[in-house]
Amino acid sequence: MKSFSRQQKQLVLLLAPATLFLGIFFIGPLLIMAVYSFLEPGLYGGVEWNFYHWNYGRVLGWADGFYEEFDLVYLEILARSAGLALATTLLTLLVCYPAAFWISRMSTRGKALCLFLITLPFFSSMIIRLYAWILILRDSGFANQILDALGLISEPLGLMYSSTAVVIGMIYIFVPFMFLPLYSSVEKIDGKLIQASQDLGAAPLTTFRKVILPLTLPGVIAGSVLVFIPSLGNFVVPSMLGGAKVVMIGNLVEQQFLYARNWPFGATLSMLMIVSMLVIVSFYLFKVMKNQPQS
Amino acid sequence: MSERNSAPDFLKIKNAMRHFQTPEGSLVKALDGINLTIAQSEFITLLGPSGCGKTTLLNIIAGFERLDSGKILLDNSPLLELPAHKRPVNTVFQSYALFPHLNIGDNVGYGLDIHGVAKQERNKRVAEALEMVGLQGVEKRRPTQLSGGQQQRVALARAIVNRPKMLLLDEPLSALDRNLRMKMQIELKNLQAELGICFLFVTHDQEEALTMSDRIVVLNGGKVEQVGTPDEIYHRPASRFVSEFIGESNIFSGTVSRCENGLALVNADGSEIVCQSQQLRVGQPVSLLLRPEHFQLVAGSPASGTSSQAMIQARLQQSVFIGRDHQLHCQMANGQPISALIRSAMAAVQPGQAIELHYDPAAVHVIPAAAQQSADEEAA
Amino acid sequence: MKGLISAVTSSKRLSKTAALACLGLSGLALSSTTLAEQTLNLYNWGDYINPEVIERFTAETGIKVTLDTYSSNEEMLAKLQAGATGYDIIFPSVHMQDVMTSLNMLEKTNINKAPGFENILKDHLIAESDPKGEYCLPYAWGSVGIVYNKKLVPELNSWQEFFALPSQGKKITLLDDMREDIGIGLIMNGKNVNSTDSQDLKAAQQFLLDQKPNISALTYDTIPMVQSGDIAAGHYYVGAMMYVNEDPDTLAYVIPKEGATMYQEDMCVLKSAPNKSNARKFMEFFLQPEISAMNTIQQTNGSVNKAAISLLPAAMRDNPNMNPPVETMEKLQVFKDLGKGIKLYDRVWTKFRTAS
Ligand SMILES: Nc1ncnc2c1ncn2[C@@H]1O[C@H](COP(=O)(O)OP(=O)(O)OP(=O)(O)O)[C@@H](O)[C@H]1O
Ligand SMILES: [Mg+2]
Repeated sequence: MKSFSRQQKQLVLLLAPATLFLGIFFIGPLLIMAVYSFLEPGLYGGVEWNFYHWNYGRVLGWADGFYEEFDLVYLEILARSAGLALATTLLTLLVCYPAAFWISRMSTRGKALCLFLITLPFFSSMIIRLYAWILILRDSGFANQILDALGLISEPLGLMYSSTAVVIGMIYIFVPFMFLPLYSSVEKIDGKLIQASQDLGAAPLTTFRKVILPLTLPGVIAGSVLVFIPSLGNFVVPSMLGGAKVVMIGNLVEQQFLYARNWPFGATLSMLMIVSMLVIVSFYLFKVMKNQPQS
Repeated sequence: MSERNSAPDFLKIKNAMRHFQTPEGSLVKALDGINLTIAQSEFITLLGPSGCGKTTLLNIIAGFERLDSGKILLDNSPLLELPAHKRPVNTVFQSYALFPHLNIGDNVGYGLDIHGVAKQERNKRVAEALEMVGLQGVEKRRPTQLSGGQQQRVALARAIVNRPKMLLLDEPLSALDRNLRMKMQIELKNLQAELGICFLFVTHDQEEALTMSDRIVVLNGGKVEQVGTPDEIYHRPASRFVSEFIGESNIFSGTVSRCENGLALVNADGSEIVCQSQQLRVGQPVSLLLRPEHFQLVAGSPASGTSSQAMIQARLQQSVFIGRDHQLHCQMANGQPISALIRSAMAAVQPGQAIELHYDPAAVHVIPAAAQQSADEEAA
Repeated sequence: MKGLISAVTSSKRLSKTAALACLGLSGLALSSTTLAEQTLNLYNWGDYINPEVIERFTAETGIKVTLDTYSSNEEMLAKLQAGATGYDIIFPSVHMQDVMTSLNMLEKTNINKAPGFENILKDHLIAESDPKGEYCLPYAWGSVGIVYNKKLVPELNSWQEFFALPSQGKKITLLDDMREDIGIGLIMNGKNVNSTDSQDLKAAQQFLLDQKPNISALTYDTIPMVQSGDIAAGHYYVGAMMYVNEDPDTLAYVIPKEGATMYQEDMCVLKSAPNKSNARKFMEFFLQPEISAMNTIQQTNGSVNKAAISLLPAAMRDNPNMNPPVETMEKLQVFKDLGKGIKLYDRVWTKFRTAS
């Protein structure tokens, strides 16, 4: 009994720093943001401590004060960000799924090399890597030069500042986030299960649908969450490779906090993002729990 | 052996070859010219030491592995052209390979679902298959919620529910404890009789092979050493390898010194063994097999009695009680160890005592020379 | 976004030497920590001061200078509002200076009494909150015009010609900046760039929306793209002259004849400054014409100091795009703070960027 209570004490002591850290640096700012989202914006940034109900209505399109008109523009931005995030998620999945199978079948050395190469980009700044893409994609860039030299094109493809460039950049940035969880679940699949499915008469596609997909689903979901959430807030890629011609929810938040000097509205948009991500993550946790065979 | 009815050449394997490249760069001959014919409702066992190619052969029939050269006909139609999922054979895996994300009902019903069997019919067949393997009402459980033996039965049910023409079983019992294994051996045998389909069963447990099989295929180094009924394999092994691999054996090598009255006398390093002469010629080198249970014990001095029976003189070193019988470990005058199985009631002898081990010359099996030679080469 | 991009390329006021200068400065800071505690902390735009100026100041006064940088007025204000302290001198644009004055953040320095202040051009005492220069010292100014590739566009003089380029298959870019882009829309409608009249802004918005399909990008990476010919012409700061001077056969900079915006930053001392007297010393130091000229030459922007202008090399002094004549100066508009009107701009900007 005595040792048990000592263990409890130890546990509390061990958990205290993390709890405190999270409480102060995670929950705290979140609460501030939640409160700010119901306050009036200060003229030069900051907030006025008056209850203000316009912020959430404004997201839905209602005009905030006499300068504005009803306009669905913010919902449009939300939808577009979600659309890009979804497309990024699906495309990275498409790229990573076969790659994960291919790499999981390599020799130990091949695997180590591939995993190293895939994590390599983490060692350098995203901005610098995107600049490299500008050098590749622009009309006078490497891609066009090579295609031209091969005689495949007669004039530049005009990739730079296009949605193609944005998609390429997004895939490039987010592939590692999709690949790693996916790979770990693909690697765990017992090859005998695939054989068993074939043996019972399932064609390759059926085997994929009925065995491989369900078994790698935790990896698919984890990878998708890891890609979807940051790509929803990502605006660097659309700005640098897409020419900033579209607003992403991330730009909008920055715009509100800095140039529009409307902290409460920025806080409102952030709250919406955080809440929707919490929904996504809890969906994921729920899914994973359900798939876990009870023992 | 049960009735080898209908098609005696249901599965025909012709000159099957399969090589593997090892990571070190050398070639392993997993299958080295296998020829085999299997009847339609036979329980046939592949037996052999680890690495002899049993799994490889099974995988090739199932379609998980390809053949370098050779032909396989199932029911007179070429099998190798078909992809794994179109072959009318099903496999029971050693590790069971149950789908962890499906419950037992869906595991067993997997093949039926693939083939679009109507729900009612499907559920009925699933229940029947589970009943056949002695598992009822577990449809809703997950594989992890079953014991090893139960999982094994589910794997069996999942395979037979599809009514395959042939069932492949790769060491399906090796993960079970001894009692359960023996029980399952009998059940499997009964199941096979009931279904009347061909079971191709892999094991490296010779006792299991002898218990269950209609015929046994002994493999060694990718080659077929012998095909025969358990009785043939046990009593008339075709090679020294088979005789040593199956059961306990006493092997005597020597040359034929005399032939008369249909009997031959073989001089094996100083001691003489009598056997039926058959086609033996004087001066011919031979190996002879005597199983431990073929000996009878006569205690006392060598001078006692005049036996028409052949016998070996030896000195008892150790006597081990193993239930109904005693196992005697003895040594011949020339130093060769010899093992005998004697009814406990008759085994009242003390270690160090000189004994006579009598045998019937008809029980002495002459290991064929050609096979013996190749076995010797293998050993070298 | 701006902050991120300027981390790699040039920020608003470009200089290749800035990164090196920062390294040099921090080295200096380390080596002199044991010496006197005399320090001065600058908080400036990235690459917006000639590092030699700072070196000279330290050499003459022994005051150790640290330099932190920001990439927008708003970033600077937000940081200070959030409680950043320790900075002595900041370099706000004039409209931000007005905001900060109304927030009571700036120290009255009476710098207009200092020797050399008479050289400051009266035309550049433009902060509404400080018409006499009692608070801040005008620092530098520049126009925001067009940089173009002469090989693709032999001559360019106006916004109209600029926006006509896409119809000839030539690509153009605008800055990724709310006030600057809406400013063009207002200028093209003959309006003031500080208008908060909703009709004016509607007109500006319409102009921008009409151009949107023709605009390749909103970006600050204009120079390399124009130089490589990927972009024919781009909206950019006068700081482009640094590259024009290096590659005059390819690049050119022009102030469009319809008019343009201009920026001006003043050197201000914070109320919270820990080293006010050192800050004053630095302002006085910068009032010296040769120091001011040294800065202008390296920055390739506009000088507010007439004695310094006379010290500039002829190529700079006589270039109408760098040192514009009075008629051009009259067409350059400076941003003022918009107060509540910023909401109007925010919506126009959001609409413009959301449009396809
Ligand atoms: N994929 C492979 N690559 C290389 N060598 C292989 C491969 N599969 C099997 N082998 C080799 O082929 C030989 C036969 O293997 P197989 O698995 O058929 O043996 P087995 O008789 O089933 O043995 P066990 O009783 O241990 O299961 C072995 O030497 C094995 O190392
Ligand atoms: Mg095996």
